[in-house]
Amino acid sequence: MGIENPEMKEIILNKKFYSRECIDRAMQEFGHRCRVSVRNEPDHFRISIECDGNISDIEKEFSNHCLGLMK
Amino acid sequence: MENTKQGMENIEIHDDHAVLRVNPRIYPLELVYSAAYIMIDKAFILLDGDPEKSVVVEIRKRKKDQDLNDLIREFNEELLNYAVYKVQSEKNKRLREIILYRALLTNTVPQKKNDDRKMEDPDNIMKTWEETHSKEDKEDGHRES
Repeated sequence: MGIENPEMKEIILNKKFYSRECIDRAMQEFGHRCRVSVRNEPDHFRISIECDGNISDIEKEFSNHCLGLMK
Repeated sequence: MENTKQGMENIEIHDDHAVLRVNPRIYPLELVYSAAYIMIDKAFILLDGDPEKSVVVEIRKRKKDQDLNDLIREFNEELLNYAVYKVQSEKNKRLREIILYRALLTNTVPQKKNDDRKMEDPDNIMKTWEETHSKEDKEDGHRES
């Protein structure tokens, strides 16, 4: 029985469109399934998402979730 | 190599995603957020660019059988819908305020003075024992005399 390696996905979100507050909320909401970390860079947030098992398009789901919170 | 089609100047269609450039002077950022919000269950949307000059909307398929042209068309329609709604809403703002003001005014109950407030007491339960019985005693006294 093989143990699946956690897969790291990354997405860059522009600070002009995504607020830190919404990213933090999304991080909390994704936190129960994945390990999410955010790096504050000059123009954008670099989000790293690591999940046990392969969850397809998790980084895109995360950005969609942030967008939903921005409205 | 990735195929890129350019239909209109502001739309680039790639194999798995499309890039749409929106002029924020025509469609303000709040409209872009609203249109994007409607689309998030159908596509992956990513915003980039400059909110002052040009908003770049990246639309990615959620399923392989989706048509990017349909997604772009739908996004544009939502954008237009919200723009029309916003213009109409600005036009009708004063009228809505007047209607709301009138409605609230109609439902306002004129307040009575505290002295005028009397509670109904058909069975005289709010009266004290002395009040009720002193009256009866007087009546009895009259009868006896």
